[in-house]
Amino acid sequence: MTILEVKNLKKTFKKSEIIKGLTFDMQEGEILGILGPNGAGKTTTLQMLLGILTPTSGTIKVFDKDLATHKSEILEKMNFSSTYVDMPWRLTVKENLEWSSWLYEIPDRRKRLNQIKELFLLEKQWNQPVSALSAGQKTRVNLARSMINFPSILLLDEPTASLDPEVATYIREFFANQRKTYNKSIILTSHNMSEVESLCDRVLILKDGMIVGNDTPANLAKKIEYSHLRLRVTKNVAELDKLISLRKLESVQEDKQYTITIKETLLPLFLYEITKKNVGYTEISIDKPNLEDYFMKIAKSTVETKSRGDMS
Amino acid sequence: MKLHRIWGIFLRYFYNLIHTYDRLTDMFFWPFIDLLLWGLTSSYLVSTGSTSNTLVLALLGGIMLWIFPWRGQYEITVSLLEDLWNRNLVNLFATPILFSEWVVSVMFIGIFKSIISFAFASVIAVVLYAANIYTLGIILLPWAGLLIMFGWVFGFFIASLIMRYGTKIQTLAWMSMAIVSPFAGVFYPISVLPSWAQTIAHYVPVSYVFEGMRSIIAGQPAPLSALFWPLILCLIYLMLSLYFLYGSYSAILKRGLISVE
Amino acid sequence: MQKYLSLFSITLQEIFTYRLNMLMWRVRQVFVFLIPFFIWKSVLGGGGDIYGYSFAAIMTYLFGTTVLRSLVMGSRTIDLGWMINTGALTVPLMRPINIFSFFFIRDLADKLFNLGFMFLELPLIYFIFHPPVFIQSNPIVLLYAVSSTLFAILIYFYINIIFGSFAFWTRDIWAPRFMLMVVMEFATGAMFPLDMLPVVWQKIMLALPFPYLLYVPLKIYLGTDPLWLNHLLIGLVWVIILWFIATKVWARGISSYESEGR
Repeated sequence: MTILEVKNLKKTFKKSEIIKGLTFDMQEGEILGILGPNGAGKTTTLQMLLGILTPTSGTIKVFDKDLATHKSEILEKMNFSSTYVDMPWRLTVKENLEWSSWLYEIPDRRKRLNQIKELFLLEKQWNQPVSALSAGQKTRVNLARSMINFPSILLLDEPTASLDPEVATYIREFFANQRKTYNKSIILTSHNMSEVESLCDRVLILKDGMIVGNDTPANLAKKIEYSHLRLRVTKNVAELDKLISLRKLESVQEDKQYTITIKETLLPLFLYEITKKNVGYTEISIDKPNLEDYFMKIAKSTVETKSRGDMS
Repeated sequence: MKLHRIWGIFLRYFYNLIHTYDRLTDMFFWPFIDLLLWGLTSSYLVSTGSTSNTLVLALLGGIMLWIFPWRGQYEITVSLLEDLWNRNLVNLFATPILFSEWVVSVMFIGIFKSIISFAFASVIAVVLYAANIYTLGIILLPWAGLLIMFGWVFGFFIASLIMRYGTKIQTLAWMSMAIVSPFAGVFYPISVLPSWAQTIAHYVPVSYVFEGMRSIIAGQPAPLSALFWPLILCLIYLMLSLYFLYGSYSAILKRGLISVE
Repeated sequence: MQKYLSLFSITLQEIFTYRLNMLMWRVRQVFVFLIPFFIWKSVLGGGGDIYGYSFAAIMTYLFGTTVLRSLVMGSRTIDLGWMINTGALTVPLMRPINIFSFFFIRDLADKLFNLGFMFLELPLIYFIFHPPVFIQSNPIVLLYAVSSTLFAILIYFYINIIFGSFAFWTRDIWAPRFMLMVVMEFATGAMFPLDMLPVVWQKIMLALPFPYLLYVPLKIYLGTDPLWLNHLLIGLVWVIILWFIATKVWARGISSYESEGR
């Protein structure tokens, strides 16, 4: 079932078009990642989905209702967590979650608060003011607040930023479980590519306010033709350097550790050639392209475009 | 409108109140200091025979009644500022709450704190100076309503400006009532003001309340103009300020709530 | 000398950063002044006095406290606690300038700024409302009043150093600061001349440093303080005592100061 439909969404700030006509949808139970370089329009898009930024044009339909006219009803079943937003720092964790809970129709608030306290491991912090929490603890409280109304759709902006690896893993598993058990739909932005690859069913890549990629992480990665060949050279380094130069390959060398970027289709031939040249090596590995490679390609072209713009 | 959401917002500000010592004490400290100072001064003047013995209640009554518009305005603007300083505005409005529910909540916070502050001040006035404001009678109720409504007018107007221009004009939260108070005749009759200031005072609804208060204290009945004309004025101002407030809220939604700082 | 001038100039620029807020605060100060003005006008405008203060004397006292507040209590050193808590103190500590001089120069810039606005606002009030004000013409009395004011500036400076230094030991500096503000509002004579109080209260107040901030300099200026020489000397004694306490508290606190990441 389509739970979110965005059609030709545009946003203009002071004659500058930031979002240039986004059209996408999201299915129930799907985890959708939104990625893009800085300034691509990710946060602007999330704000419009939350109804805290009015689009210049276009429509957003959630649960088949127009957000512009049914905002209150829709937001009963949505929630969010973002690093741009804090909670009143003088209030305790309990107080913050309590007043937040009253903004939603929750049948048994006390029970829900206790559940949230356990789920997000907040027993120790429960009666502490938010000002006394570390950045990671604040992130956890923010996430707890985002789950207070048991939302059907969650918007998570960098949900595991500032969390230690153990807690970050717990949070990722928690949300994956929420999707599995309760069929929750999640929109996620993150700069942690491995997190996006492991969690997201589909990824939207934004660039300059437009969608340039809309596919599963694996399919997006396949769009990158290059792999990374890593090897530690033990003899005939000069021969390897000649080959790299001849084939006009990019490589990074640190001591005798080489990382060579090469088209996947050319890999077998290259390996044959270095064997023929008697290049000795150990610790060989081949990294297939991943989502990060695809993202870096998009980001690099954005930087190059901007540089050319600066130079002109 | 949903009562539980209004309660949620009220709770947010209430919890902030109990954790903020300066907000808690200013409900009691400044009224106490003003009552102490002006009570002593007016009592002394009465004891020398240089003024009538109604001066004490007139001055102290002004201090006590001024609590309503001051609190009414202050709670609206400072509540908004607290959310800006705490970067909490998105937590409030990216939820099912309607903007009107926020408006109603901050009005209730103003009423709540005004009543507590006023009750405290009235007890202090009786204990220290035997000045009982409740002798003014039942007219205190509609006056209190009018006074706090006037505070809301300023509160909404200043909140609109803060929404549009951010915290760089936050000083308005502490200065707006200070600017209007000389023309409100809180502590002195309007006739003391220069004529141009008296003209301004005619359009300040609360000036009629304080003049009415002094009339009753002097033994005269409160003129009806102390109720109807200021009420009409207040309602007009309130509608304008709410219109401006909603316009500002729509404007910041176009810019994005995150951009307000 | 150059470094002090640069610091002075930079502080003024900092003050002017939030111009709108600053301007609005000044406007507020003008209107706040009008309330007691009209109150006293309604009470004493027709003649008579209170505790020996006529309308002119009260107006002069009001004007005087307004000017003196700007001069004596305009201060950036109230930020000291915040600077310690956030680690911002590290920056001036690394500079080749005595730290007390650093804060004092910043205070002087603030006072200049306040005084500048005062000399715009007060004539405006005077020309609109024509309050009767007493201008001291005796140069000797003026000299003593200026001396008393200089002591007041130093007393307030050292009080701020002492209270700001609490931040070396506690993050909650707000509470003692607030208590100080509460006491000072009363005890400096900012709200009313302290000789309106019963004699016992006056004696208690005059044993504290606070009346030497506003009340004593004003009384000396008005020429109505029979014990002016005693009070002038006591003011000087308070400067020395508070200097001593401030240096000791500071030395203790700075030895335990630590900050990170700057």
